[in-house]
Amino acid sequence: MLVMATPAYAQFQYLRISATPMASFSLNANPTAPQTLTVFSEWGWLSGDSTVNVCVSMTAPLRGTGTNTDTIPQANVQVNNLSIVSGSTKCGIVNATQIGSGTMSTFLPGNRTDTPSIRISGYSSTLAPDTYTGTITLYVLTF
Amino acid sequence: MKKSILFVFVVLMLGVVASAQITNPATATTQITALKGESLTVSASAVGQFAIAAGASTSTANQDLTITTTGNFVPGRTSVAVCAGMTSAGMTGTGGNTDVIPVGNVLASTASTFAALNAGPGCSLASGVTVVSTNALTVANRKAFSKSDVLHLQLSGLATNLQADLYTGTVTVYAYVTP
Repeated sequence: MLVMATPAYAQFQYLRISATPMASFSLNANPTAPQTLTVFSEWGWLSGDSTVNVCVSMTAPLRGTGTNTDTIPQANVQVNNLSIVSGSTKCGIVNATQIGSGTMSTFLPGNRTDTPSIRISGYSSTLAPDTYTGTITLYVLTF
Repeated sequence: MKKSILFVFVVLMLGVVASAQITNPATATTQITALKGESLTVSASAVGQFAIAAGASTSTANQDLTITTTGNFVPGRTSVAVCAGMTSAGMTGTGGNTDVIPVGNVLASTASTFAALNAGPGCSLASGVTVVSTNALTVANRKAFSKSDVLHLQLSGLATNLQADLYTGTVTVYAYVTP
């Protein structure tokens, strides 16, 4: 009985998310020119789930190189013209920003593509000339 | 014996299911990069019109040129020089007037001693400029460099029979960061 209750399809379940890399932002305007982040989510064989949410977050600033201690705070990174640090919990993640939501069919494989606009706004005018790098984390949550 | 086999089978199946559990939410990361380039700007104010009295060889009063330089530099930069010079045509009159005020008659000073504006080298130019200022870059000013220089200008050695006219010339300002 215990064996029969175990869902055999579970070993085929998948839930994945990925993004196309963005080009470097040029800090010659404030805010910068926006770029589109293309986020691809896919799922399959997820029993009982009917909703999919897609979110992004940053938990650390963009940092320069070498001994440069200047940073671009993550709050200056904007998603669809609003700070990526949302102040609320999305996708079960504190301070995440939701970029997409939709329905899904139980069991059936599916996918969605979200294309939020990303830009950097309000960074210091005295930022040292350098290349600054940070990490955006992507989340796809089904329930 | 039969029970033992069944127990092992159940344990194995549970193991398969446990290893297939997905992470929800699933996560991934993508990099975000931004490039801040160096900047250097220089601008010049308008210069007031010189008055030249009839028969005079020197302009009645000096005129000031204010040069504003700003920049944001990488740590390796050590100095910013500011220079000014006039095009070789000097100052020319209007219409068919062929009289000119040669560039050598345009003098400049940052203090009280005047010398030809195009006296020498500076700002990576071999000649034809006056070095208005040389400014060291430090940790304190490197990222928000801002400097305002005043260059006093004077016309001197003018031909006393210079035709009455409006004479116009162009002063070019330069900012040069090293190395």
